[in-house]
Amino acid sequence: MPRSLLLLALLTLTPAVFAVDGPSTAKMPLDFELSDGHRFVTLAALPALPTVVNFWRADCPPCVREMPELAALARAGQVRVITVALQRPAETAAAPAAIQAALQPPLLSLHGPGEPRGLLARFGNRAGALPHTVILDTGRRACAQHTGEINRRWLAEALANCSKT
Amino acid sequence: MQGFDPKPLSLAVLLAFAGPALADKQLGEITVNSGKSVGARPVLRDEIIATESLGARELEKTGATMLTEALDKRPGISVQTECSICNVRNVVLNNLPGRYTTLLIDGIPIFSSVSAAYGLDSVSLGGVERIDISRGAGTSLIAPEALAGSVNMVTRRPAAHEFKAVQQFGSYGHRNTDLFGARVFDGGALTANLNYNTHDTVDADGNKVSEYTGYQRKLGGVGFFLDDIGGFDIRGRLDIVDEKRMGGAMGDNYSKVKADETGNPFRWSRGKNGSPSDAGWVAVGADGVVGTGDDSFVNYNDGLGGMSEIIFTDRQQFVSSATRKLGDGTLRLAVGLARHKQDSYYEHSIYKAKQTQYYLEASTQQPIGATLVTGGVTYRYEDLKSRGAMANGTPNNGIDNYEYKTPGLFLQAYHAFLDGDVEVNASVRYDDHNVFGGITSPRVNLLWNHSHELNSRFALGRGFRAPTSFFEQDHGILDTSRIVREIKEAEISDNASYALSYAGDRLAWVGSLNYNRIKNMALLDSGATDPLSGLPITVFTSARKPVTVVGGDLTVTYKLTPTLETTVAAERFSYHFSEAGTLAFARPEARAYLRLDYESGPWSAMARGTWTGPMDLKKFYDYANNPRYNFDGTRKMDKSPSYWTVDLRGEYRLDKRWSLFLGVDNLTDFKQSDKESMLWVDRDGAIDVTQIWGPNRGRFVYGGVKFAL
Repeated sequence: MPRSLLLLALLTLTPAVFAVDGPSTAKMPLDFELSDGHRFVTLAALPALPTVVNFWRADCPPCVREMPELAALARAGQVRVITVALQRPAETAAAPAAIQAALQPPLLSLHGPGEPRGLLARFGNRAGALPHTVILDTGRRACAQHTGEINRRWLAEALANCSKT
Repeated sequence: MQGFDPKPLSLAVLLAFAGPALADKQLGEITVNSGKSVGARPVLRDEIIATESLGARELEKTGATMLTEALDKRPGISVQTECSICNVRNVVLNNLPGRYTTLLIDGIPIFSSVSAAYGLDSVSLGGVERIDISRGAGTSLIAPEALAGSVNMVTRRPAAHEFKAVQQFGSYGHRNTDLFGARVFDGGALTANLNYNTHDTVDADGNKVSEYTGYQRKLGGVGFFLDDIGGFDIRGRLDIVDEKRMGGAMGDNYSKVKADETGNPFRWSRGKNGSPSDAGWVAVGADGVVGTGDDSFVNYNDGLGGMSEIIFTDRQQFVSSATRKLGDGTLRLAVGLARHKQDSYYEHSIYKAKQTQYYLEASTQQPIGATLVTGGVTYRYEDLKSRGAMANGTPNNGIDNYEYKTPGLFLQAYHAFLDGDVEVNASVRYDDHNVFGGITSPRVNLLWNHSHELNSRFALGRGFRAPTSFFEQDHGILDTSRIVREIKEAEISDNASYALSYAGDRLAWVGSLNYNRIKNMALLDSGATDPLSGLPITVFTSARKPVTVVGGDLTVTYKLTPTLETTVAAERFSYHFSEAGTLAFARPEARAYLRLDYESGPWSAMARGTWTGPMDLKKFYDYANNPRYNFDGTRKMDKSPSYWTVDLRGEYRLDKRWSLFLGVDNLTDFKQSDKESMLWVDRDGAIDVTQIWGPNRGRFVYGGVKFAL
């Protein structure tokens, strides 16, 4: 095997040997650095608030159905609502007008990375199913999450439970 | 609450383990994201097998109008042109011959020898959701013949009524029209797509022999999606292809070219190392050196037809699958049918082939304890029936006919260990081939999640392939009276691969190492002579020694700003073979890629540079036993030069319905013909069309308009 291949093998294998997650990442503060189209938004840099993080795509019917509920929650102003589209901005822009309206502030609309596997796994969704919703407490720790369509009742109960913890 | 809490095992398996055979985007009310590429470069999907996915948006951004254009210029993936006057194009994975790449439509293998030769250019991108590329033998549970890997085109199930039209114009008389429509109804959807694509022949060096083959291609297709028929989720598509292409002679007057069989309409003195005279070329003789006593001059007198290849393709293909819940698991039924006709004219020879293929599959996936087991049966049928005549009119009907029937069964087990940090998938296939007998193909895949962002994928697999016909390797040798088949065993490939990938919020990278060893590689000797009749014959045999290709590649993507992303990639391969004709086309030892993607508001743009390293032409083209010469008698290059190609494309969205786009492929206008002709001459003065190592078309400018309703 040529020397360059060996070098590549060593370069790629080295981090694999040492990088193994600890078992308690679920209770660690969560963070991300994602784009809103104009700047990178870091979760840790935002004011400490209970936060609903929702992962979606415009071609995912349950994702689109639950979007107005999330917009209403954002407008109520009790919690921060962040949506993370796992699509290119141009693809999200093709979503119906009602969804575009729902994505307006105070809801914070972000776009995920091209390869969303790591981000989704960090937020408790290793399987990569959508929609996926995570509720974070003021310390950015996950206190509730659901994969699949959510509704007002689930949001209310989950937020109430989180406020107790 | 609608939907359900997905069981980690079942979700993981549907994503990671089923592969094209059982993966599905919709799980009740949950959409499986599959980690599919939303970025600008190939990224690994969330599968236990390393799979690179190209989404519809990525396909658009490259300006591709056909499958072969969409897949080119990616680490470990490229498109090899194998003939300068007919432009057979193959998808090359891990730099192994293109016939080892299996194309699947919605997980169903329905392309083979003849259909893969010209058929890959005729695969429509209309209605495609994504293209999944898996490299390595055994990557597909249902396609063991994919010795280099598989390419699976996944059809998109529309969620709303759609109409989309794209009209594109380009250099060299290029016109491409795409129409796609979808109608959604309660419980299903129907789609229809039409494509018309035309391109002139291109002759850059002025000798009146084209390097880029002109074509007129008409494609049509309908798709259907029925969400619940007796519990089955059914989908299918019917595609029809009508293509005409001609290379060698310029233009598209096919009948005139076929009738033109004498005289010299070409200018052999033109181009790099052209002949001293337009009338023909120099044959250097036995001593192999020009300018010595045994040189001679070959006067060309075969007319337009003697240097032209004209191929008409007529294809109908249908694939359909039905999936339903069965117990705690799923049941899948699949069917594929294809009829492929080719009517071709090769330098005065006639070759007409009909190929029929059937594919049937029944499989089920069931959890047994904490292990998920998939079992299934497949039946594959393919035949080839040909009629033809040598250049002198002697019939050689049926010389490459074959009929293969291959019932097979497969069993696969998936288990997650260490709380899901390690996932293992082991499978075995047994196929009972009617010619080559029983063949067992095992494979093992392991996914190790080091962290949320970092994981390793290991794969060990074996595949087999029944050599189909000489057509797949060298369609231009039809001036033969018969084929002597001396092949006793199928081609067998052993593959080991390792991929390490990191997926962060702004940074993502993938490194992979691949080892491929192929035994019994099919070989042709088209220069043999029948000892009794003295007529030319072709011997179809197997290589005595295995061929090994080892390679590695690394792709790094970083989001520089919220609107600008860069990708840097490199690959390096080494080739170990000793018999001429095993690796019949030169491949580079190294390639590098640099790409920028910009997207902001209504603007999107892509710029990519591809560096191709030198190729060892002397070794690949076996100069030691068969030296190659230019028309002036000088030797062909031992090593090709390295070169860059640069492609640009920009798009502006006028509003929600209208967009404009403009692009340039090969901006620097680098063409092989500027350095060396793709035509070559042997010592005795015989001409061939396979000295290929660089672009066969120069700068290509295109632009157009898109409309979406």
